[in-house]
Amino acid sequence: MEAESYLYTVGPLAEQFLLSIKNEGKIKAAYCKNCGRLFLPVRSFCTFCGKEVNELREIDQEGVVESFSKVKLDSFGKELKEPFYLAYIKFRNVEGGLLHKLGEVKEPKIGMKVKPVFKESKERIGSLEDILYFRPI
Amino acid sequence: MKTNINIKNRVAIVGAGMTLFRRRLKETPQELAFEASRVALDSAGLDVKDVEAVVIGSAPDAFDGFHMKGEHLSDGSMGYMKPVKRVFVGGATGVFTAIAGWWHIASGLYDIVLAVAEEKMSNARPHPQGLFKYIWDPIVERPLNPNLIWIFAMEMHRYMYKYNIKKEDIALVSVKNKRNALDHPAAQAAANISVDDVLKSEVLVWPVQRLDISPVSEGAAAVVLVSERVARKITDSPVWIEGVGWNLDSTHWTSRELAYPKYLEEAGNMAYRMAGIENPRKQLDFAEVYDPFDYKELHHMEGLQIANKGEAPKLTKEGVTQRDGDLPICPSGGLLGVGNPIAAAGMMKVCELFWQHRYEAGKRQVRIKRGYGLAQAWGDLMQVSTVVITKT
Amino acid sequence: MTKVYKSIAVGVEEEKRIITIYYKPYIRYEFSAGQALSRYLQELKNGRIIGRKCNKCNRILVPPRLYCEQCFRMTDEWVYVRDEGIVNTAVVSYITQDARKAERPEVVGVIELIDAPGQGIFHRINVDPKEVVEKTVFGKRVRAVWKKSEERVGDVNDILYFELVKS
Repeated sequence: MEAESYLYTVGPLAEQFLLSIKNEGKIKAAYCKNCGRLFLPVRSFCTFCGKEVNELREIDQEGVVESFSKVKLDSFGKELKEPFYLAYIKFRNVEGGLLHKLGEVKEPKIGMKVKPVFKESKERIGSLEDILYFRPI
Repeated sequence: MKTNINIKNRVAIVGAGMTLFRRRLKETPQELAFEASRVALDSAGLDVKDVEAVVIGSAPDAFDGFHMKGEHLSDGSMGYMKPVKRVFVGGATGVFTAIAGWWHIASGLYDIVLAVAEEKMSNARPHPQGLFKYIWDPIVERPLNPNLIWIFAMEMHRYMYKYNIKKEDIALVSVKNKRNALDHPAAQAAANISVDDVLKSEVLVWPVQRLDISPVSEGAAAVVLVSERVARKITDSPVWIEGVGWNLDSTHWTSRELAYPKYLEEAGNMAYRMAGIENPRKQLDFAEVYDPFDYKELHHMEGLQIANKGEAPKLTKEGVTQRDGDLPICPSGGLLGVGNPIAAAGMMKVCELFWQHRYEAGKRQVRIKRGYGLAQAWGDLMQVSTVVITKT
Repeated sequence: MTKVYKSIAVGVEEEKRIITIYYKPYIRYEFSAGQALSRYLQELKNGRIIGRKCNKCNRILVPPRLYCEQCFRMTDEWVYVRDEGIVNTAVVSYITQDARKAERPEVVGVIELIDAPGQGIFHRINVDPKEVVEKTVFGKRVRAVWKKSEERVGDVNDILYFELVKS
C-alpha cells in the first residue's frame, strides 16, 4: 500500500545534526536542557521528560559496539555481492546510539571501541552515508 | 432518557492543542505529534509524568511512509513506557481517538489520558491522492482506474439529484467555512471567497470543483482527557463528554442509497441516547460536522438529524448555520478552511468543542446557551462515522 | 486561548533546499479474487453477469458474495442477471487516478441492475457529459456493451461501458 516514492523531511534539529556531519565531520547528539540527557538519534523533543529540544552538543567521537550482525542477504533475500557488518554503536554518556557499518575489521567483537571514518569533505551531502563506516581504534 | 450503560467514571476534556495545518511541514511525524501533545498538556497544566495512557489516531501508514505508525509516533506522544493504543477508522479516526480515550477513563482503568491524532501527507509522492487507489476493491473497482474524488462526486450528484439541490446552495458551505477559518490561528485555507469563485473553479469530476474540496494538509491535534475526580481538582470548567457513537456500514457502497448516510444516523443515535438528547436541532448549541467537501456538511447535518432530508441547504441559505445563527455549524472553519490532515482533522474539531465551551475561541466564539456541542467525523468509502457530544 | 504550536511550514521551493531522504518502495500485490468473484470474472469472460441469492432476505447480490452481510449467513444459489439497469448516479471525470489532467473526460457511475434491485455496478457510462451535468441521464435505462468474445479475459473491463437503451 505504498506510494510511488517517498520524500521524508528529517526534522529541524536532525537537519542540524546532518549538517554537522557534512560541514564539520562531527557526530553531535541532541541535548535536553531540562533533564540534561544527551541522546541519539536526534529529534526536537525529549522522550523522557516531554520537553522541546533544540540544542546539539559535541560528543566524544569514540563509540562502543553494543551489538553487531553480518548481513549477507538483501531485502528480497538475494545474496549480496559483498556482505557487511552492521553494528549498533553507543557513545559515552549518550542515550541511544547509531546504526552503521563496520569497516577495516575481520572479526568484530561486542565492546570493541570504534571511531567514524568520513568521506572526503567535498563528497559529503549531509547524510549518514557521509560516514563510510566505523573502524576499530 | 439515558441508556443503561455502566460508566465508572465521567470523562472531561481539560486541555487541547494543535500544530499549524499546512501542505508541508518541516517536522517529522513524531515531532508533529509531540508539538500537539505539548501544547495540549500545557493548556491543561499537566505534564508527561501525569499522563497514564495514550491513544494515538493516525490514518493509513502509507501516508507518512512508516509502518506501525502508532508505535512510531508513541515517543512523540508522551507514550514512552506507557500503555499506548493506536486506532484507525479512515477519516473518522480523529473523533474516534477521543472516543477511545473516553473509554480508557469511563471504564475506570485510568484517570488521565492523552489522545493525539497526527497525519503527514507530504511524504507520499507524486501525490497522496494516488495512495487512495488502495481504498477501492482490487477485483471489481480498481481495473477502472478510479480517482478518490469519483466517489465523492457520485455521492454529491446523487444527493443533488434526489433532493433537487443546486451547486450554488452547496457552494455556500465552502464560502462560510473558509471565511470562518480566517479567525483560526492554525488555518491553511482560510479565504474570503464568493459562491461565484466556487462555481468558476476548475472542474475536477463534475459536479466536484476545486473550491468544493478541502486542501491536502498535514499536522497534529491533541486533547487531554481526565476522570471527574481529577477534573474537579484541576479546573473550574471541565468540558464533559456526554455521549459517544460510532457505526460502520458495509463496504458494498454500490448497494447503498448514497444520498443519505444511514451509518451516521446510527452513530448519532448512539451518542444522542447516551447524552439524553431527543431533539438535536433544538438542543445542540453548535456542531463541528465533518466537511472534507462542502456537500458533506449538508449530508452530515441531515444524517445527524439536525436537518430534515434534503433541507440542510435551506438552513445554510437562511444563515442558521453561521456563527451568529441559531445552530452554528463548523465555527472553526472546518476542513474546508483549516485543513484536512486525515486523522488530525477530526481531532481539530474535538479541540474546537473544547475551546468553544470554555469561551476560548476568540473571534470564532459562538453562544453556548444549552450547553451541548457535537463533533463528527466520517471515513472510508462512504462507510463509517464517529460522533462525540460534549457538555458544559 | 486557542493553543497552536508554531510549526515550521515549508514551501515547494524551500523543500528543494532542506535535507530530505528519498525512498522508492518496491512492492507489488497479487490478489486472489476469492470464490464468488472468481466465478463472477469467469462469467464476465462469457459475456454474462452472475449474482448470488440469499434465500432469507431474497436479495440477489451483484457482485456475488459467498455470504450475505445483512443476514449473516452463506448465500444459497447462483443466479444469472441481465446486463441492464437504471442509472443511479453519474459523474464526469476530468482527472486521472493520479490527480493529473485526463486526455478525455470520462463518465462513470452506478447502475442499479433490473434483475438485482438495490444492487449497483460501478462502471463507465457512454453518454454525453451534458446529460450528466443536466442530470437527464439519472433514472435512464442502460445496457452493457461488451468487448468481442475473443478479446474478453475475465475482468470488469470485459464490459466496455454501459450505454443508453434506445427505446
